[in-house]
Amino acid sequence: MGMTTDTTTGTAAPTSATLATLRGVERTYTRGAETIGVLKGVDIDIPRGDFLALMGPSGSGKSTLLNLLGGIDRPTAGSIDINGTRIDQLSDGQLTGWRARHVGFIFQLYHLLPVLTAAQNVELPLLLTGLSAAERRKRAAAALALVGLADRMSHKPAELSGGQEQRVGIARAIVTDPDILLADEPTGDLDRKSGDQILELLAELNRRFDKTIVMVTHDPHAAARAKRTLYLNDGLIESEQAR
Amino acid sequence: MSWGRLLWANLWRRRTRTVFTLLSVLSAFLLFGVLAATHYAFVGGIDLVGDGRLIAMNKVSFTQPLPLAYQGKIAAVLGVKSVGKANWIQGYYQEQRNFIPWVATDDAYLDMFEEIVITPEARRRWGAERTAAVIGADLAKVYGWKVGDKVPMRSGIWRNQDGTNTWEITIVGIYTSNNAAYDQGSLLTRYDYFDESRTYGKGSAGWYLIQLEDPAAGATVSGAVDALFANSSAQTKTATEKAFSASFASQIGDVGAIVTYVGIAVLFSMLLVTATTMAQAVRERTAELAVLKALGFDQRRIVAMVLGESVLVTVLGAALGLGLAWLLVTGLYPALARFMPAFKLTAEPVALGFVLALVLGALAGIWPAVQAMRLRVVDALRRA
Repeated sequence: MGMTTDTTTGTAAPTSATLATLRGVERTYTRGAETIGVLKGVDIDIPRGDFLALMGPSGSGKSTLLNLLGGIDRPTAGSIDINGTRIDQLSDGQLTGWRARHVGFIFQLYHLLPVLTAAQNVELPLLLTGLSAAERRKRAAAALALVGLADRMSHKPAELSGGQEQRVGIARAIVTDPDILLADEPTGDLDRKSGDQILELLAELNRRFDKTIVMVTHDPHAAARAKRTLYLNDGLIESEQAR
Repeated sequence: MSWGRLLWANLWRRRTRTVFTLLSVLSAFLLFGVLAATHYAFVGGIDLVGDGRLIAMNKVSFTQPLPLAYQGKIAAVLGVKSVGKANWIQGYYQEQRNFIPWVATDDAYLDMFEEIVITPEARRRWGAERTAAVIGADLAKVYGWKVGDKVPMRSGIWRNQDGTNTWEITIVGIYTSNNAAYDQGSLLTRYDYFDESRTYGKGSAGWYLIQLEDPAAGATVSGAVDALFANSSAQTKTATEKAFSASFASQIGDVGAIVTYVGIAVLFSMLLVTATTMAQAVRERTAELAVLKALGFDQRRIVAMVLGESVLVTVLGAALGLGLAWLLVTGLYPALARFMPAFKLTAEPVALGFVLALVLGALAGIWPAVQAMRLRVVDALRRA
């Protein structure tokens, strides 16, 4: 058993060594009469505090794997256990609630609400909690300070640079202190300098707060910041590289 | 930030579109409010008419006279407390466009209207002076008339024996009413002054107003009065004052039906405009809605957000439209009070307006909400 630290409150909770266990995970899609196998039986163990990069060519199944881990897609076969919950067996409603409590998403295109300020965007997931308005504001401010945007709280997304928008996206992902952060090409829309800053931020979240991160990337430079990399090809894990 | 703030922020995402949608809803409810006030002026006021009075008029038409002798005969019918006579004069002041509802009548008529409030001095002078006239407070306000003024009033129907169509009247009282919806724009003068000087139709009355001993005996008394003149050359048609008012209003047209049809057409257009706006808003926000779902916003919250936004538009538009309608009706009232004393936007249509706004807002938002609910996170994000 280890301990993990809440990024926004600083409280500690007891943990077990493995956070996520995937066994025989398959995902097929049907297009007309044709059935396409995107994942063809994947077994993965993700230890708590891991920083895992998923790489592979387009269509290899890495984004599908990330979606399955985040509970926004369902496996056709196999089991997904995250922190003791078989999420493949949850109903749609249960899965939605589970996502709110346990997963933080970081998107390539940030997907911030343009009508809200940075602070309001970060506060958004907290609307689903029973926290008071004052507590929500406090936590959103703490998350934004953590990503280095304490002075941009009242700015709307259109008033921020791409790198800053992604930082807001990361603050939104960590504000509920989820078990796992899932990042889909987080630097894919950024220049190298901004991308490096985002990767450094993710690495710091992993290092300093022991956050478990799974990141899909095409970029070997980005993958190099992770603790290990899984290479997928044609729906299967081809190789693994640890650092 | 609160859910309300989120709704509000989403509403103003496209300012121009929201403003135009709001204007469309506002126009619909402005028209709804003005039509409701018009409807009330024609039909709603009828409910305020006393039940304890009957009107006997010529069975052929309201415009045909009844012999003056009928007054005494009707007074003798069992259950009748008093009978007053009246003649419609179609009055105007100086020019025909200055129309004034003018009725020549007698003491009994004046006394049985508890809605007409005049001072004892005015009542005394009415009885004592042949040219005495009592006018409504709204009418007095329009022309600045006061007690003691002598006014040359003209008739659009009758001729005076002096060769003109003018009767000089003396204002002896200005009546108000204890009922806010009661007409305060009429002119009442003495029947005898009018009858003795008119060139034709002498010795007849336009209609008789009958006060009942017991308001519940209306049907029996009206039957008895009509039976009394069943074989005469001038048969009567006797009905409650309320029925008379309703029949008078229906001569103008079925105002209720017109208001309803126009209202439905306008509100239906508004429904289409709002539904289109909401469908567009949801389509534009596909990726955002998908992200909200990914963050853990459940179906209930997504539906509530879309419906909430739609209802917010219609309720806000309704509030602005009905508010504007109230201002307009209140502003026009002094000018229209003489013709439509009950031209008022009452609480009932306002409440109905807000209920309609809620229902139409929800209806307009249903399909976009269903679309948002059906949205699959993975597909929507891939499309984005």
